[in-house]
Amino acid sequence: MHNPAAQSAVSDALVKFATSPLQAAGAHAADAAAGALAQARASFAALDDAGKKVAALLTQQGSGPHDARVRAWALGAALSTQKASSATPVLAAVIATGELLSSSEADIAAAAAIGIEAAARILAAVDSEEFRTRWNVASSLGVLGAVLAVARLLKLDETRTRHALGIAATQAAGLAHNAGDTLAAIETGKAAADAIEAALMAKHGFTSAPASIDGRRGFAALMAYRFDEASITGGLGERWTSLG
Amino acid sequence: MSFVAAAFAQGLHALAQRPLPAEVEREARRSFINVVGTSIGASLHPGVDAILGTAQDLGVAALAPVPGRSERVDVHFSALATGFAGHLDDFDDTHLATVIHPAASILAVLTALTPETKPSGAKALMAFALGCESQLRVGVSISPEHYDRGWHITGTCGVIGCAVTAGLLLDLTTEQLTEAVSIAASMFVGMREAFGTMTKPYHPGKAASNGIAAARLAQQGQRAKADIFEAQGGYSHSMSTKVDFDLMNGAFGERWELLFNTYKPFPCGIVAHPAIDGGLSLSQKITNADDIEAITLRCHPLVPELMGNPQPKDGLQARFSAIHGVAAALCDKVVGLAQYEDDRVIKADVTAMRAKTTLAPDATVNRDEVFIEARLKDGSVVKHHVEHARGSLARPLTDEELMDKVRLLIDPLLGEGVAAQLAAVVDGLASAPNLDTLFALCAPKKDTHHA
Repeated sequence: MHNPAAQSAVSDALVKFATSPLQAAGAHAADAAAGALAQARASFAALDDAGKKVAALLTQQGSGPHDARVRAWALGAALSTQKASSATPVLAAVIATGELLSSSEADIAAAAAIGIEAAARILAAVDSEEFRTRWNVASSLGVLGAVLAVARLLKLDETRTRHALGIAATQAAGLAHNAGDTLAAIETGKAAADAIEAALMAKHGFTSAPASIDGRRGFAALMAYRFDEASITGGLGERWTSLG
Repeated sequence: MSFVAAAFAQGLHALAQRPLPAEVEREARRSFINVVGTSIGASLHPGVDAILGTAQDLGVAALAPVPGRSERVDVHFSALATGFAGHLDDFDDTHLATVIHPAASILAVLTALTPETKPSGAKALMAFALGCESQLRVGVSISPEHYDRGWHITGTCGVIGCAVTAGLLLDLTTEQLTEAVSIAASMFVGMREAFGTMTKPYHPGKAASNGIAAARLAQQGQRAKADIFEAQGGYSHSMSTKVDFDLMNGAFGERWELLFNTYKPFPCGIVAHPAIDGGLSLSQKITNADDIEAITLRCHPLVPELMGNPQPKDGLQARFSAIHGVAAALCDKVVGLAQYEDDRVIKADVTAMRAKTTLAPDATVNRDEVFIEARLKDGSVVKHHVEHARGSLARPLTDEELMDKVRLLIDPLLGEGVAAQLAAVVDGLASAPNLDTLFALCAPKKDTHHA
């Protein structure tokens, strides 16, 4: 029997990052995230084809008019038709969750900064040609950053944040072969929706794998062709790689 | 040359136009009542509460039911909760060649979409059977490498079967069904790292809601790449290094993977089932369990390897302890969910019985076989040989045994006789005008108060 790992330095670092106050060095990242959020909101004004399809799909299903999960999916899809990255699901997820919770702009920006940084670092840890030829980078990494950002907005404790990360990691998905098509945008929007669902379920006590990223049957083992743990954990919170 | 997704959808769509062969229909009904039982049996689990709590946070409409519950939620969360509960106790069906548990996610799609699509019984049974069959075909086409690598195949292949079931309920054309399975291919869910947590049964739940979303997107004209299964960077080659599309698309209507579905008599890993079956047989020959001095099981080497925990501390650990199953069989003369309750697992009698029990691995013993021997305090020896465990392919559960299991899952929650009523409805499904009676029976009666 495979006994899942009970400990994970990677989960520990990401969870601590998501639940701790922003350090001084994070102020610039939060400013940058606020700028990205403003841009994202502006481009949501008119939902494009992907966004409309998703919105129509989801209202047929009885989802509420202010259903943050559905809204994040539509927003993420709309945002992705221009240019998607692992930051896209994070932005869509925090905007929709911020609306649901009436979070302050400062909290939304800090959550976005943390989610964007986490996704960028996990991407750096797994990035390779083999990875990019198989998976949708924006959706498969974005869901991981987005769930940490939403967990932060929900003020989940460390244990629940770790479970949330696990629920998100197990559904990291999206195929590289759909790149450039509307479907890729729908995949990326879906990552934002899945992240919100995961964080809310963890809030209600749902459990998941402790080592969802670096465990033997976890995200990196199944989807990546290299894994550099230090890219995630090295100076996390002090050094901001996503500020480029 | 035809694309894999198109050939797959054409094959399935053609099957949907004619009646199911009698033996396939029978197996579909057995899978159906089994998973109705497991989904109701687990319906009060805290994980279901967490899913329904999330739905409430999001303010969803009360559209679709969840078997065993009185709440109604939107299509997405109905599917999520139903698929989760169906697989929760690992007590659902198993297709042995792939280790896919196909029915939980498919029942979830049916539950979520029935209020809107109002299928006849025959249509529902067809959508159910082909949803199982299609995910099993995808599964065999990438097995065993896909699961061995660490993917939870019940979710990763289940999502494609769920798109088929949803597509048939939504009356998609063949072309739309092609897009539905192709879109679903990018919505795979399930890593085995999550085994032992609530996220494992989340996989079939999410496969169901993703499959529904894929079918609906297809209905609205969304498309995926035509070669999404066979292309590099597509589904099959990204998910496995061993791919055989003949197993996915070959011999439609002749080869039915659903016929190889099996049902667990005991709520734990299947590897331990011969041992537990042996324990139950011995328990019929030994009146007083206190008379037992030592028990030895000569068994397949995988039993200690996968299920070797000698002294589990709780119900979850006990599910990975063949010795616990045997000890519980001898103490209680029955092995069901009650024998895996945390409180039961740590009681003195069963703890002592486990201490007397030894596994003796022997490579000449088959996987579904066991030789069990008890030495009693008076020096006598009682033996039993299980040639093929109940629930194995060679010795399927009889309809009566299946009903014994389902009754224990349903009646304690919904009231005496409800399992039998549900079984009668499922037996007559092919001629039922709708599923109203079925889902009415799955709901708790107003005066029923759960613990």
